[in-house]
Amino acid sequence: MATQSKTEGKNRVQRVPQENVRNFCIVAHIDHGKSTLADRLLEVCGNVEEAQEQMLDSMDLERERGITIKSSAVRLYHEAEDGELYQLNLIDTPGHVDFSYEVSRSLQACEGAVVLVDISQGVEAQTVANVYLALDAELEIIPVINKIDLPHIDAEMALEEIEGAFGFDEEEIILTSGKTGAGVDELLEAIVQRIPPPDEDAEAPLRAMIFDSEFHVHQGVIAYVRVFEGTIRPGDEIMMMSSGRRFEVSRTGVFAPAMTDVDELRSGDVGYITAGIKGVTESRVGDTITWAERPAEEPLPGYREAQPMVFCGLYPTDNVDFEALKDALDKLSLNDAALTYERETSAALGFGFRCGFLGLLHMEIVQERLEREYDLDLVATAPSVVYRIMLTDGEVLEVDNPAQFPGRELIEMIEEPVVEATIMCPQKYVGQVMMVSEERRGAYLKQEYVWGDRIALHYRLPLAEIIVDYFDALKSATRGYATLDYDIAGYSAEDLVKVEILINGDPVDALAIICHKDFAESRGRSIARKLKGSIPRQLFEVRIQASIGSRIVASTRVAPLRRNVTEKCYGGDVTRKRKLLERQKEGKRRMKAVGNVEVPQEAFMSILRLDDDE
Amino acid sequence: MTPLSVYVHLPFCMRKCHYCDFNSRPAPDAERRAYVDALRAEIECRAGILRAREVRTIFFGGGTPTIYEANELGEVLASLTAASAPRPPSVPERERAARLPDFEITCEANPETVDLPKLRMLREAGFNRLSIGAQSFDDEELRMLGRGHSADQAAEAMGAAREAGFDNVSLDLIYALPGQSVEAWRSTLRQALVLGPDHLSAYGLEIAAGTPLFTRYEAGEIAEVEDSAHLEMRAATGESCAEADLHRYEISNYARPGHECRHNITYWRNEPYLGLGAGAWSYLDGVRSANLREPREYVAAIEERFEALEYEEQLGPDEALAETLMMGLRMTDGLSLSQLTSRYGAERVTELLDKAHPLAEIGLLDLSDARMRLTAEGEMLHSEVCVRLV
Repeated sequence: MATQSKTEGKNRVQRVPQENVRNFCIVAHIDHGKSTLADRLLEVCGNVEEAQEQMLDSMDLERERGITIKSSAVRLYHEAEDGELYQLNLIDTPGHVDFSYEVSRSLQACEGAVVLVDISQGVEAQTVANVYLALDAELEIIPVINKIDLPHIDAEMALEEIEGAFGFDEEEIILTSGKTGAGVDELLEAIVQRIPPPDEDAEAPLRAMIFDSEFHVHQGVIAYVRVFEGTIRPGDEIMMMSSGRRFEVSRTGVFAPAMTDVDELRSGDVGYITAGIKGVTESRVGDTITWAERPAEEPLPGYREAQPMVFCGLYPTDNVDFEALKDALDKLSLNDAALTYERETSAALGFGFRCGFLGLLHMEIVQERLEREYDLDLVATAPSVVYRIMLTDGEVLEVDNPAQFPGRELIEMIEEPVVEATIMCPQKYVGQVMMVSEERRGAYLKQEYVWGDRIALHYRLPLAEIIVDYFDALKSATRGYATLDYDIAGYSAEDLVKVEILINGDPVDALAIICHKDFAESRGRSIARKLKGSIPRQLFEVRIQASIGSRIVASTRVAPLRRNVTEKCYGGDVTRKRKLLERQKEGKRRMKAVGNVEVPQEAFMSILRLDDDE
Repeated sequence: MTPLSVYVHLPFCMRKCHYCDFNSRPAPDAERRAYVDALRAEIECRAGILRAREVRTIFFGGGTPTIYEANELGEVLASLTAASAPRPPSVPERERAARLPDFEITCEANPETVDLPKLRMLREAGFNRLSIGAQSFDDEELRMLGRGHSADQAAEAMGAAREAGFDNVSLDLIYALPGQSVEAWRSTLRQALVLGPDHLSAYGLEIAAGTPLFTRYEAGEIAEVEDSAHLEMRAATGESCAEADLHRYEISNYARPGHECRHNITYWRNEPYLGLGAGAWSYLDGVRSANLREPREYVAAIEERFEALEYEEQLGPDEALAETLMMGLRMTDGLSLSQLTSRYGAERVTELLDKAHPLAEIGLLDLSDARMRLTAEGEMLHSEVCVRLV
């Protein structure tokens, strides 16, 4: 066996026999302490002397939001009680429903999963969903109750809940604290003892699954892979099985946690490769890498192309920034295979892009990165789903922008995407959850007791309703107790209409929305009211109307501004006042001129939010 | 010689009014004394500037300048006139200023801090214009504002000023007070105008953050006057003043012909001025600067290094134009386009006019007679117009 030992500061890479390798991930709901526990594992295994908070979350945004957007993989070494040295590959997974496909691929790369439950929160919908994903992937599961350092909290309830929800025995459950390090040694032993080693063939043709990839300015794409069969070495010519594209491997290595090159990655290993790949669209998550010359017969199962589900228009507030926005999108998409964008033109907003996202969080993250990392002022239009429109002449259109809806007389039928949602909450909130779901056109499917007083409700809902404010509404109706998970469940024909908004008599394409006929009038009124609230008073009267077809269903006005003057102004105020003017001017720059009306950025996004009183 | 206006800041008060966010506060005698000494030292240090220009106006503002004794104020003024040129050498120092007919020397005064003997001494010291902070002629309103005087005291101060020989007296009033009716404001106006002021300043109240009124506003105890009532009060001000032969020449200022405040016009025309005292601003040779704001720090700085600058900014042409516009549009006769062109160049003025035309179209600007001025409607939207012009 080729052995390799390389010691470089804290980055130790040692070859251990395959039976001493363990590939595992940690599955947890947001805020249940996954990153802290992972940091603690790194520390205990000596990878780092003192963990920086949330070592594995590399993007600033991830640290700030406390969520993991991209996966990562770290190699740990643990000398177990049996005296043997074990190599533990910890694969970190994203923790949000938008990224459930990425989660499933990360799980696929493991033999075991540590399921983390916050002692004070109990089992959440996403935990359940991810445990099912892990069971589907035939992973060995180690249930863990975390945050046992929290005062005044009894582990008994969380224990019962885990036992009840998943059928684990109390003896299987490990109690830990990422904060104090309690139970971490016990967890490491459980990983060694309970999770099986990879059982694979190093001689068979190469099959390695990409479970994440990341664009790096100097090295091109770094693909995170799990090798299932065969070996991969620098100099190998490889092929992506979904596209047939070929590359020559330049580096192979592991994260320890810094990138550390190794001579080869063998079956059972988790690590990275670089191969002159120019963008992440050429190394898609879930794809199988094989040898170009002796390819495997079948790719690994489960690959699918990332499918954007939510679309919105992104426009620079100032049209001169169009090229800068295009550049920024080009750059971002190098690192984000799920982001799609194409040019579009809006009569109201000028030149921009129609962008596709996995979900709402993905959309917000992209927007935030564009504004923060690329210093752009953007207007985002309200998110839309992809509607399937059957025309009277038999043609079928897929439309992701309400502005592009054909006239009503041309439409035979409209279908919209629907999801099956699982909402978990304490029993006393069931009524509120039902109300919130039914207000948003949810169709009740069933309910089941998870454990104790915790109920899982199943609803079928239009995706369009989910992407507006469903989760926020659930959270506020249940004092934050509800958790949500959903899966796309096809298309459904609905009676949908387009609601248009007119400002001073002119329809504004970027403010049009699609909604169910029964809700159209009240939505129209609500949008008009919201715009009245968000459009600042101008030098002239602004009329806001909502129409369905040619019928005006709501009309309101923003009275003109009549007074804005500093009445007392002398020598001491001059420069201060000028600076105030400059700031006001800057504020105006952040508004979008629609005709001659200045509309603030947030107005375009806010139109879909339902009023509290509706 | 280049003309110059001089502002002297006297930051102390008997008490702080409930609406006041100015650089002013009560202080012990010793501190007030040390402050005047520092002022006189600063004047001496600035003698170079004072001598190189023709001082045309002097303005003692506050705070409440008249919290000082008349002789103290007279000493400061004497230092100032002594440092300024030119003057006939035979005339005693403190009479020189009074003899310069073109010299406007204003002192702000609060009614409760002046009486006839004090005003006589001020007049003798050379002050020839008095600006009395009356604010309201309703005792209830005065209490809400936290003023230290009654309506009667304001009227008495006005009478005493005339008797002391002030033939140029201004009254300050505030309108749009929380809960004030248009009729209540008319009543204050009537009582003010019957006193026969030569000049009137009437400001809509601004409830500034950090003031006691703001705290009450935040707590929901008081509310701002509605825009429509505010505008109605303003219209009433214009009408009543016109009847008393006071004509509006700036957004909030009215004067009998020839009694416009020449000192303040310096600011509005964005011409040079020298500020002395804590927090005072200067505008000299295109440089805008300010002294340390806190009186104690100002005094210490003067004692230590003979100047107390805290802030200094050399204005570029775009900034200078923005300030000239912003200030000039406050004047009823606005700005002369030919003067703007000679000050800032044809290119900038052309650009400016491109932005001005749409505002003229909607009736906020008047561009006739080669001038740029706000229309009656535009005046109340001064900030909106300026934001679109800069």
